[in-house]
Parts: sequence; C-alpha cells; structure tokens
Amino acid sequence: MSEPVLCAEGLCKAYRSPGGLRTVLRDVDLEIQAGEFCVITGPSGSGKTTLLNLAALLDVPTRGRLVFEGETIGPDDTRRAREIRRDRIGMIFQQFHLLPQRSVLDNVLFRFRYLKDEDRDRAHAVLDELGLSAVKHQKARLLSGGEMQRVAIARALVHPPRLIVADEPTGNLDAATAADVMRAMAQLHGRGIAVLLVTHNLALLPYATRHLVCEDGRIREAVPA
Amino acid sequence: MRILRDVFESTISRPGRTLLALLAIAIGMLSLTVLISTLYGLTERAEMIAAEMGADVFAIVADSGSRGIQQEHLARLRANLPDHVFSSVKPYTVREPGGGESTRVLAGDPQLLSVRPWGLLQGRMLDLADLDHRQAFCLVTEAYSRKHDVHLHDFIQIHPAWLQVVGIVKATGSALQELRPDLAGTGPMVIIPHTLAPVWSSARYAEADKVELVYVRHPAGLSAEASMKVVERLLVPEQATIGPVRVVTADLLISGIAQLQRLITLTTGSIAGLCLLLGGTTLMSLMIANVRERVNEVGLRMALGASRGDIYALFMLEALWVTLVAALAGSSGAYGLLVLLREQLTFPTYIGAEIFWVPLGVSLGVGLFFSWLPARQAARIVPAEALRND
Repeated sequence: MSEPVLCAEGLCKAYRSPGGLRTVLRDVDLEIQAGEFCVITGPSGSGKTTLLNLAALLDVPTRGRLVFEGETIGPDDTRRAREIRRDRIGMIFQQFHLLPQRSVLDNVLFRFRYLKDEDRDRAHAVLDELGLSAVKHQKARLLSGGEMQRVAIARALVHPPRLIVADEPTGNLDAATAADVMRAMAQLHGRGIAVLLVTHNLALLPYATRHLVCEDGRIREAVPA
Repeated sequence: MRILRDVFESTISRPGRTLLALLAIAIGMLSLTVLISTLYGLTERAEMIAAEMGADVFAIVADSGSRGIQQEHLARLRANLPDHVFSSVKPYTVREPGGGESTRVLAGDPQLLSVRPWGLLQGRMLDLADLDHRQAFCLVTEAYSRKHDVHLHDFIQIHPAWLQVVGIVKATGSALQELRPDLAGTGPMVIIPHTLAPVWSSARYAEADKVELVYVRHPAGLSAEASMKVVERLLVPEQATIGPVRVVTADLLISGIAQLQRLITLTTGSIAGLCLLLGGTTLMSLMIANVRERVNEVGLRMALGASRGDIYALFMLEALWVTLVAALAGSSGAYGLLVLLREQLTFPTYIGAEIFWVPLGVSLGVGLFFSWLPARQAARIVPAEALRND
C-alpha cells in the first residue's frame, strides 16, 4: 500500500474554557490515502471541525502526531505547516469565505503571492472545468450560493492539492445546488486527490468511499447500513 | 503588485476615515515642512548676516521713523575717528515687474568694499566720481554673475534702470568662509552708488544723502565694545536731528534670528505635532476597524499560507500608503505656501529637496508606529477560529 497522504496518531485536542480544560478530541488515529473520499459525520460538538482543522494543519494538537505525506509536522513546525497548507492542501468552507468585492478570478488567484502566467492559465482552466467561465469577471458577491461554493472549490484546486478538506461544503445550499457541488467534489476524487469532508448531511454519503463517525471526541468507522 | 492593489482597494473602501487621517497627517506634514524650511531659511539669513558683516565690523542702523543718518554725520565720524572705516549703505529688494524674481541691491559708497569681506575679482570698485555723477554703474557678486551669466561691461536691467557692470566681487576673509563656503559669495547681489538709489526708492531725490545703514570697521587693536561706545558718544549730540539709531553687531542680529527660530519652532512645531498625533490616532483607529472587519480575510490568507509577516506587511503597507499620500499632499501644499511666503512676504525660507525628506521620513514613521499595534492584532488572529466565526 502507498504512503498515506495524512496520518494522525493518538491526536488529542483540549481547549481552555471558563469551566476548566475541555477535551474535544481523544486519541484519534486516522489515515487518509490518496484518492480516498472520506466523509466524517457526527453530532454537533463531537469534534468534527476540530479534527478537520488539525488535518488541514490550521491548528496544532495538544497531544499526538500528524504526518503529512511521510513528513511529521510538530507543534513548532508552523512554517512548514504553512508551506504545506499553501502548496498541498485545498480548503472548502461552509461559508465559502470569498472576498465579495473581488472578481471570481481574483478570488481563485487569491492564494498566490506572486502571479505567474501558468497560475493564471490554470485558474482559467479550473473555472472552465467548474462551469464558471461566464462569471469569472463578475464580483463574487453577485454569485448564487452554488456558484460561490464552486468558486471556493476552484480556489482550492488552482494549486493542485494532495488533500482537500471540506467543512460542510453544502451546508448553505439547497439540495439541487448541493448535488452540483458534490459532483464537482467527486471529480476531484476521480483525479486521485484525497478528500476529507465533514458534514451533517447523510445525503452526501453516496459520494464517499469511506464513512467515519465522530462521537464524543472519538472516531470510528461507520457500520454499513 | 498584488499586495499593493490589496492595499489600495482596502484604503479606498473606507473613504471617510481614510480622508480624515490623510487630512490630519497632510496638515502635520505641511506644518513640519514649513517649519524646517523657515528654520533653514532663518539660519541661512543669520549666516549671511555674519558673512556680510565680516570680522571687526558693526553697523549703525537708523530706526524706522527716524530722519536717518546723513552724509554730514558720516563725515563727522570719519573726521573724529580716522583709524575707523565707515561706509554707508541702503539695502533694497527690487522686484521685477509681473511678479518676477527679486534682486538684492546694495546702494553703497567706495568704502563699502573695505568694510565688507569682499574682494575684487574683475574690473574696478565704485569710486567717488561714480557717486558724484550718479553713474549707472554697478558691481555684481560672483554669485550674481554666475546665476545670470553676466560679465564685465555687460548691461543689466534692475527695473527700471539699465546699469553697466564695472566690477565683479567675491567675499573674502569672512569668518564663515570655511564653515559655509557656499556663502562666500554672499549670494546674488548688485551694488550700486548710493546716489543712484532713489531710482528704486519712493523717497524724494533730495534724500539721496540719507543712509539707513552705516558699516563701521574698527581698528584691530580696539575691541568692538570700545569702538561702539566711541561711535555712540559721537552720535549723541546728533540724536535730535538723526532720531533713534541702533548699533548692531552680527551677534545681535543672529541672536534675534535665533529667538524668532525658537518662537516658530514652538508654534509651528506644536501644530505639526498635534496634527501628526491626531492623524496617527485616526490612522490607528482606521486600521483597528480594518482588522476587525477583515478577520475572515486574514484567517483565509493565513489558512492559504500567508505568514504573520505577510499580515504585518499588509496592514502596515496600508498605513504607509495613507501616510505617503498625506506626505505628498502636505509637501505640495507646503511648497506652494513657501513660494508664497518667499515671493509675497520676502520671508526667509529655504526650498530644497532636504526640507521634504525629513517630513517624508516622519510620515513613514507615523505610519509604521501607529499601524504596528493593529497589524500585530491581525497577525495574532488564529485562522481556525477566524474561519469559524462568520
């Protein structure tokens, strides 16, 4: 078996709160392989988003080890984590997090500090692929919810990632639009990109190759229905 | 370039606060530039006075409203103090018609060149015949000759008269020569026989004998104080006809200028300081509001790989952009004001690149200082939390 894209060993995450230390994740072990479409479901407050943030290297675990493509990322490796986030991880959020005053193209190219011609070409190609060519010069605030989320996907794809983490990507969309977005996500999976998706929406499970359930800060494989 | 566009778009998205900060900093910059320019100008004038007075020289000045010192008084002083050299002078500023450049003109006598630290470079000095016959002759300083490309025997127009250049002079022996060689030529200046002066004066021609300033060079063995006492004593019986006179030394003039400099520093400096403080705090509040409104954007930038340094740079560049525009606006306003002061009020100002560098540096300093805290706030945003809070 090839090296996993992401490997988490004994991950724990606790937050200080007025009531004392609150443990959100407890001893989570997880391996995501290239090309895997992994969906995590679970009740609110079960630690799904915390796990996603750790997987996206946006946060550091209180205890445990994270390995990205064979490279261990310790709590002090902030620079390395930043480089991996920039170059190898794509993120998709429930609230899209677009810059409303900027054009679609600008939003897609937002992650680049210095623009090269090939980045621009790739942005155009990704927008074409996601059916956004007609709106690429429009301001993001004028788009529909589905279009906004597809722009967010394009932003995640423009720098070819090894892992896409998506936090409730269809949470703000109606069923038909959600299906559109999920079809776009499924295309990524088809290209061998690993996808880690957190949702409440069980209707998304048919897209998954693996279903994990998060409960009370622990994670387990879902029992097939 | 992308970051510059981000910076530009962000600042124009909040025009009210940006304009307020810009205006306050621009006024601060304007005040600071004018302050530096006038201090520079006054220092230059003080140095010029010292250079023009030269060593062992003091001046007797007729106060405004006095009848003035007449040639007969001067003759009496000369007769009583043969070891002193006296020279009478009337200074004029002649402005070209239509708001053109102004020229400093000294109406003097043949002794002027021996009391003033000047040397003859070419031609001849003015002589008694020039005075008696009111000859339209003049001397020019080397600086004037260079500036206007004027040579010996050329004719120059000091409106409305045409004068022939009979000599070119250069300052020598000034105490300031080593300190400020640029002042050695004492600036562009034209020296004419004092009998010719009424051409530029509103006074009647009969007043040609009246002088406003008498330079006195005392012998090297006598102190300036002792010499001044003797001269004052000789003039006391004449006070009734002359009116009030003052004995002025270069030190006195310079200390007067220094006092004026202190006053200007205090007033203009206070205005500049207050405006910069107001501008800086407005800028800070603008930046803090920016950070609060852009938590998501900052979180997103960091999530997509921006470092804390990038976030610092983003917000500090925004502040620098505002202060830079303010500095440019303030400097432009200051330039206009300084030209007006110099041309219309003949106030000693200095206009050169140096006076704009310091305010520019101060404006950038203000931008950096007042944006550091908001930038630090932004750089401390935790991306995971920022992206959760929508």
